[in-house]
Amino acid sequence: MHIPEGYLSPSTCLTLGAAMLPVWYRATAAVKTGLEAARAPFLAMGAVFSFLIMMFNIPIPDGTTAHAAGGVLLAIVLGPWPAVIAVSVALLIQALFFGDGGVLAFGANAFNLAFIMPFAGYHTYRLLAGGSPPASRRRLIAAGLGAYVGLNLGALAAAIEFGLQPLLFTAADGTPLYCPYGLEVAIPAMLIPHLTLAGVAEATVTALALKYILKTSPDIVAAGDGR
Amino acid sequence: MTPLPTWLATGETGPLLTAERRWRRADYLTKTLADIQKIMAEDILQTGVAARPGFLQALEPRVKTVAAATLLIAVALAAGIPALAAFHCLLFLAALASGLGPKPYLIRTWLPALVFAGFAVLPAIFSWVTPGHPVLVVYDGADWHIGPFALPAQLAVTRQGLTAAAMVLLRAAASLGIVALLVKTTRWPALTKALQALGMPAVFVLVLELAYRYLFLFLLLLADYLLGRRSRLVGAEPALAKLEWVGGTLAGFLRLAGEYSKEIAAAMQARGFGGEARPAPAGRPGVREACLAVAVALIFVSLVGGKYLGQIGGL
Repeated sequence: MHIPEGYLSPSTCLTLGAAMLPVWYRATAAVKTGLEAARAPFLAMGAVFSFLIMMFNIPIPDGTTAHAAGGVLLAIVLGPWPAVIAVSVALLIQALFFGDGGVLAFGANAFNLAFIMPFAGYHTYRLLAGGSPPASRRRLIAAGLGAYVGLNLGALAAAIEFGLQPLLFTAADGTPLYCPYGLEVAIPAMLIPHLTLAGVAEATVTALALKYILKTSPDIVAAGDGR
Repeated sequence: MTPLPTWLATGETGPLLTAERRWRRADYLTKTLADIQKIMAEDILQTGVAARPGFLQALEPRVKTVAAATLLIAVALAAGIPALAAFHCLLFLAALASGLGPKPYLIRTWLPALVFAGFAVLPAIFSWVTPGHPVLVVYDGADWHIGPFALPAQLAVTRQGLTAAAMVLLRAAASLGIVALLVKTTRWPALTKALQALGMPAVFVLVLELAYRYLFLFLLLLADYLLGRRSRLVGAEPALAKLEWVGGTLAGFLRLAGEYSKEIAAAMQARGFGGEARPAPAGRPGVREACLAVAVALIFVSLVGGKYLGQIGGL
C-alpha cells in the first residue's frame, strides 16, 4: 500500500503533504504536553515497533504472505497521536533507505497509513469496545474490526488518489501523465485484495497481538488509551 | 599491557553480508528473515559508500538535500521520455563517480522500479485501460461472452498506453536513483542534521535519529527470534498457529520496546538531556556546491522547461 514515486502528480503529493502538516503539528504538540524528555525515546521505540510490524510477512489464506501495516494496533496501544508520529517516521525511513514508497509521495503515504488508518481504526475500536473489560472478547473483536476498517479505508484513500490522476492529469492526445488507472479500475483493484485477504490478516494479527499485549503488558495499553 | 583478544587483533575482515535472493515461494519466517538480511546488507553497503571519498560524498549535505528535492520535483514534472532517459545516464555517471558501483546502483533503482511500478503499470499499455492509437493489435473483431460479461471487440497495445507506462517507470526509477544517491553518499547523522536545518521539526528529527539507531538492534533480535522459531519447527504449522505466533511475537517486542524507551530516556536525562533537540551546526557551501546548484538548475530546465516552452510556442 506504499505509493511509489511516479504514480501521483506533484500537485497531489503537495496537497496531501499540506493536509498532513496540521496533523503532524497537532501530533507533535500532543506529544510535547506529555512527559517531555521521556517522550522522544518512547516515540522512537514506537517507530521501531511500527517498522517491525511492517517487516512481518503475515501468512494469508491463498498460501502466500502480505505485509502487516500495524497503524491501528499502534493507535490502540500508544494512542492515535503518537501513532501518527511513529508510523510517519517508519514510513520516512522506509522511503529514504529502502525505496519502499516515494519520497515525494511521503505526504500521501502518511495521509493514508499514518492518519486515516490509525484514526479510523482507533475510533471504530473505541466505539465497538465501549466500556468492556480490558481482556474481554468484545474488546479483541473491536480491535480486529478496527484494524479491518482502518486498513480498508487507507486502501480506499490510496485508490481514490490513484483514480483521480487520469481524470486530472492527461496530455492533449489522451496519454495519462501519472497513474493510468481511473477510479473504476483503481478502487476494485485496491479494495478486493484488502477486503478479502489483507484486511482479514491485519484484523486477526491486531486482535491476537492485543490479546497478548493485554496479557503481558496491560500497563502500556492503559497508558495509551484515551490519548 | 594486556594483549588484545585474537578476534580483535586480527586484521582480516570477512566478506560483506549480501542479501540472499531466491525465486521459489518461501514461508513467512523465511521471507521475513530474508527481508531483515536485505536491510542489514543495505546498511552495510551504505555505511561503506558514505565513508569512502567520492564525487557526491564531498558535497555539503544541506545543499545536496535541496538539490535532491529539486530534482525529485523536476522528475515528477517531466513529460518527455528522451529527457528522462538522458537524466538516467547522468544519475548512472554520478553513481559511478561516487563509488556506488553499477550493479548495486541498478539493483537499488531499476529492480524496485520494475517490481513496484513496472508490473503494476503493465496492463495500462492495452486499449482496455488506455484507449488510443493502436501500435500492436492482439485481436480484433472478437465476440466473446462469459455469461453476462463480454470482452471488448478489440485488444491492442496503444501508443498512449506505452507512453504512460514508460513515463511512470522512468519517473519511478529516476526518483529511486536520486534518493539512493543522496542517502548512500551521506552519513545518517549528517542527513538528519541537514533535514533539521531545512525546517524539519527538531522533535521529529530527534525521533528519526533515535529510531534509526535502535532499529538495527531490534532487527537483529527479531532475526534471532525468527531463526529460533524456524529451527524448532517440525512439520506443517496450522494457519491460526502462525498468526498466533506473530501476534505473540509482536506483543513481546512491544514490551521490549517499552522497556528500552524507559532505559534510553533515563540514560539521556542522566547525560543532561532536557527534552529539547539541539539545532544543527551549519556547514559552509563552497565552489563545488555552487557548481552543483548550476547543474541542478540546468537539469531542471531541461526536464521541465521543454513542456512549457512548447506551450508558449503554441500560443
